[in-house]
Amino acid sequence: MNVDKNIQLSVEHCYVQEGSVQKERVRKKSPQKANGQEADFSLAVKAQLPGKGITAIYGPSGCGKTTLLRCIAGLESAEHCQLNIGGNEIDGLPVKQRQLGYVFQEDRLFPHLSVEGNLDFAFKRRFSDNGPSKQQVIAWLDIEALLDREPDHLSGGQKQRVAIARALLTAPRCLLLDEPLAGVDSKARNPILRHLGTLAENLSIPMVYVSHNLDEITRLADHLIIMDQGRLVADGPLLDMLSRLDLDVTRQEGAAVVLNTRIVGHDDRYSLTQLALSLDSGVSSGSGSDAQLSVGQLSGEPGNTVRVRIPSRDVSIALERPSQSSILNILPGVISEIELIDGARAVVKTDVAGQAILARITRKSLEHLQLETGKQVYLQIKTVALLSETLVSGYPCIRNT
Amino acid sequence: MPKMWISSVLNVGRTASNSLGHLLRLKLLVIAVLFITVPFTTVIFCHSVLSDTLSIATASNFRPVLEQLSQTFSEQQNADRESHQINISSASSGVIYAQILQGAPFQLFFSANESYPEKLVASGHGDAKTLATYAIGELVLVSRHDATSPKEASPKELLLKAKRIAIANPRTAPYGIAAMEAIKTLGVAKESQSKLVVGNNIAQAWQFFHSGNADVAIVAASLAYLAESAAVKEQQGLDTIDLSSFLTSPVRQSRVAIKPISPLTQQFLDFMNTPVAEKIITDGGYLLPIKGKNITP
Amino acid sequence: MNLLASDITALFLTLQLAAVTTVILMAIGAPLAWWLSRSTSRFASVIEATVALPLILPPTVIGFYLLIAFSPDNFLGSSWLTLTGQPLAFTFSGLVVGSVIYSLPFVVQPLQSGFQHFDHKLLEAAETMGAGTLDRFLNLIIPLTRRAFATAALLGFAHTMGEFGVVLMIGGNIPGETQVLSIALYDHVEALDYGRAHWLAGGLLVFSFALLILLYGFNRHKKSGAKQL
Repeated sequence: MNVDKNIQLSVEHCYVQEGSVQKERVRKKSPQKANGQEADFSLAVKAQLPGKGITAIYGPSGCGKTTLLRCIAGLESAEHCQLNIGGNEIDGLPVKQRQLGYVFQEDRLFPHLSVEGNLDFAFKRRFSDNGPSKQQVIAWLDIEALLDREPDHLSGGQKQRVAIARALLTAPRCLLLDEPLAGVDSKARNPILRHLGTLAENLSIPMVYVSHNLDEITRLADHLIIMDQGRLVADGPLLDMLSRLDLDVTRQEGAAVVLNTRIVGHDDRYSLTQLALSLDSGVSSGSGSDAQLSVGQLSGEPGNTVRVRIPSRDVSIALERPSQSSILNILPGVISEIELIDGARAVVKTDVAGQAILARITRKSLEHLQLETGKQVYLQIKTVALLSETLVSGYPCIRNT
Repeated sequence: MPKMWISSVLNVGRTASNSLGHLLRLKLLVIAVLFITVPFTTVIFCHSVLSDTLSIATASNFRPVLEQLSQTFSEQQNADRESHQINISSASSGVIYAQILQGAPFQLFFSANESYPEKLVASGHGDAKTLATYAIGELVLVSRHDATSPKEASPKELLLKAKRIAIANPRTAPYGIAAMEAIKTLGVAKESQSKLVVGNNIAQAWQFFHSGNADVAIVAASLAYLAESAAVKEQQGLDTIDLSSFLTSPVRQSRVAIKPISPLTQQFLDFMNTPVAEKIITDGGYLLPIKGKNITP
Repeated sequence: MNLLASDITALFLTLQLAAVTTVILMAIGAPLAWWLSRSTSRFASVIEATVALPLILPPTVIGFYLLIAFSPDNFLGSSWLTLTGQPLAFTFSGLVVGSVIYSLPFVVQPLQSGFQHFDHKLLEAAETMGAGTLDRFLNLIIPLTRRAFATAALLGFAHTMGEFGVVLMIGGNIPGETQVLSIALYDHVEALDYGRAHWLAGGLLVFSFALLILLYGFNRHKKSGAKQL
């Protein structure tokens, strides 16, 4: 991680502008009133974001994610705001000089211009010539066929793709995305997520992605900031964060860990691909060779890295390796941490070849199996969702095995 | 209501904005008020028609005098007769002439010249027996005196010095015609042409001067006399100079009664010949026509 | 007097007055309407009511007060005289001042209505793309509210063309300076010159009708086309 390129962020006590679109939302959603002033929003976030890849800002509705993003863009002002992107102090600058791309929840396409007109509006005002070309952006977001259309005649997903393309064409220092999938119907989300993945691979600028949808985040982000009630709860690399039992994200119904794996081989007979959890290629130690997952056959070459997602609720624990089971993926691991969710359930964190996998089990099972830290167990994994084949060209796809 | 219509134009193609909505509501209110008040006014109008009414149209310059005349007349009449009503309308003589031709319901017409009443007699509207000159108007130049324009300044000097000269419309008002004649006789027609501001009638010409927007006005002496008392004139620095000597003929104002002649009209015409009425006319700044008495020097 | 020549002078004077007034009205009216459309203060209602006054006040009231205000004895008249060396009453400039006041609501109200329906979120988006205030005004606000602008300009122009009462009070009926068409027409009628009056009245009628056809046609066309304000 190149420190110079990082985003240094420190925002305290945001003022939501009088008459701003955001103000009404804050009023409705923020029960506490800072300094007795209704218009103010209590916000205290200090963080350092990586200068590349996607950083997700996650938190419940009304936690201040959007307000934070608007503070970064300069659309709201804060009492103390320090903002440094890749060595550029931008906190004192007006919105138009911050050189940030912003994708709003609503597409905000200009209705009097065609799709191409919208793109040109941004391209004509681009902040530098170092940004991607029009052809590149159009290809990445697959909007070639839409260029002559009017924004009013596009679907929600198409509009948002155009909006993302438009934001990119200004050659921003950083792309800010405020829940771009919120207004998009569920069918159209996957293509956009794929496009965003493509962007992350191709762009040299960082992206900040605000969302309250953990699923989107696990599929996209590299870095995660968790917020609640205007405060930063935790931040760090996504993979670490998703296995931290002190955080609420690991206790939720949809909690899941993300693993980086390596293709070790293909089993053509059953149309399967073996993935190793250990990323040290070539070395196959005793436990490492055990820590393999089978998924539906992939196109990648052995050695390629693949990101998979394993939901906690789809992992069960056995003390001995089950010999008679339909479940294909059984991994040996050592319990590193146990956390009770409530009276009935618990989360067990297990170390498998250096990566963490979470299992959500009942408290009854926990006691019955006498699980404790340091104990050797076997994890039965029902589903492995493939997130991305980061080193393989082409679009990542999602499959369950 | 033309405004209602414009307002609907404003609303084309979109929902009415708040302000327009308010306006429309306001207008509906006004219409409602009109609907409520119209029957009452109609009642009053009917009443006036049923009782004895005299409608007089007069050139603007004579209006102040005519109001006094009608008041005195009413006071005399009411002592021994049931109540009546006199309505006075004023405009420039030409306008009234045109209105009478179009059937305006006037019973008496006091013109600021002789020709319009004569034309009305010729066209059959006016009664020839009632045609008479009732006053001779004096044309005066009104100005304000200050350090730069000494009181002794001649009319010619005043007109040359003036930035704006207010007169009545020479196309329709006899005093406007007279004013133009005086300006020509004074030999300043060319210099004055671009300075002329033309009031619709003699009253508006006076208003242009009175509001301070014109520095001199050529109007009927009657207006200047009645509008300001001598003391006030002195205080405000107003000067009036008689321009009669620059006219080939004085402004002779004629009247005529419109057919048919009601008893009340006849009574008013009779009253006009009484010494009381003649004194009101001379007090108003007019001379009386030669009728064997009140002969002017 | 050559009446035909004076009528043509009056026609051009009227067109000139309407054009100058419309330009000034758009320059004043657009920011004013923008402010009115955004402001929530009580003061804005007072301004709004003031702007709308000419809609319901008789033009003679405006003319009467203007004539008093234009007098060199009063502040407006004396300041103008000091600044320009010309009085306001009975001059073209005076008519422009009167027309601007008289036609202001016809420009401000369509604009305000258009601005109220304008999606302000688009401005934020443009701002993040580096568009400054003027850029946003020219490339977003004007094109997206062009119907309101066209309506405002046409109504402001047409209403000034048809102005009579105010001009009658402050104009002084000076050919080439303040004798506009409606005054010339009134003059003809008073002088019983009905032939000339017919020409002018008919011409004004046809012209006004054509302007409104244009306005309605424009609005209808836009309504059927893309969503515009």
